[in-house]
Amino acid sequence: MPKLSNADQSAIDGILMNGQATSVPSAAPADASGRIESAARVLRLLDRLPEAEVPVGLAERTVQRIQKAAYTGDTLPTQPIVTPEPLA
Amino acid sequence: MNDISTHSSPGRRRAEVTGGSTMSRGEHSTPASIAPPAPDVTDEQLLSAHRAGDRDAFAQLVKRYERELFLFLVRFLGDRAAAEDVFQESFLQVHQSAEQFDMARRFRPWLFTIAANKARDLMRLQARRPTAPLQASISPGDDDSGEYIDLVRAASELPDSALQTRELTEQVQRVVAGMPSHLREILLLSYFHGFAYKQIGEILDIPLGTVKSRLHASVAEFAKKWRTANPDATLS
Repeated sequence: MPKLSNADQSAIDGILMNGQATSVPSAAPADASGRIESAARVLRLLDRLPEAEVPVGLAERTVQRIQKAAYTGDTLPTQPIVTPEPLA
Repeated sequence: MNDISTHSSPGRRRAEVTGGSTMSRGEHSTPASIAPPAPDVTDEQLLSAHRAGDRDAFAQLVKRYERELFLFLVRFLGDRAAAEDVFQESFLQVHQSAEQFDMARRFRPWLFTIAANKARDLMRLQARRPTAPLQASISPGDDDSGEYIDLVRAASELPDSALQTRELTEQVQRVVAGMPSHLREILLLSYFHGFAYKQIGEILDIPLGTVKSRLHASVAEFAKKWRTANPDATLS
């Protein structure tokens, strides 16, 4: 598995840690700004992912399905809402 | 369990949803549309209203997340039909578990927790079937190097953003689709959905340190796979 240097890890954290990815935090030191900007450029590649079109009537069909489940007494298989699992 | 309804206009003309047939994937009937909720009504207020018996509140919650949750699921699963199934199952779970939701918490991370779990369950199920290459790598066997990825260098190799738009888009799609699912998942939650590390930890039920290390690994994997897929990348 490839790794990032400590400097690149800090750059990624500076962009993403608090949510709502930004480009270069204004408080970043000058020498860190360049690295953060490079990290941001790499991340911005993700903006190339197309926005999938939402199926027409998805919300309405979902409500219908839930309503039907309520009428028929269908329930989901018993399972915890948060499924503990090893992912790493 | 509360009834929920759809209505065709903000004028609250209700079209009661009865126990009719459930649409199968790909079928598009024309159910009455759901009016979007007022933007100043919070998710938690809608869920609370649903718990109190407001028949529109849940439908409005589904409508509010129709786009964002579907986009997450389709990017994570790589399959529109599967994404729609998981979307519906997630809200069915929300509906059935609404009474257990801790109203002191935020609804959005809870919704994504449920959806991510269901998506992973589906992927595990599909992985047991030989015909479901959801996690096919674009470069099998290239993930064991342990090499350091320098993001400054990687950024310097990016093409001019104005060039080769379609090709670049397809390339990025293939790279993201080829990432291990747990790395793709965390990258989507962080970059596209703007969850803070702490919230991601709650959604994935992992410690903050693991959020960081997994996200770093995800970016490194993305950059490495992009470089591998673009050996002739030119300087911008």
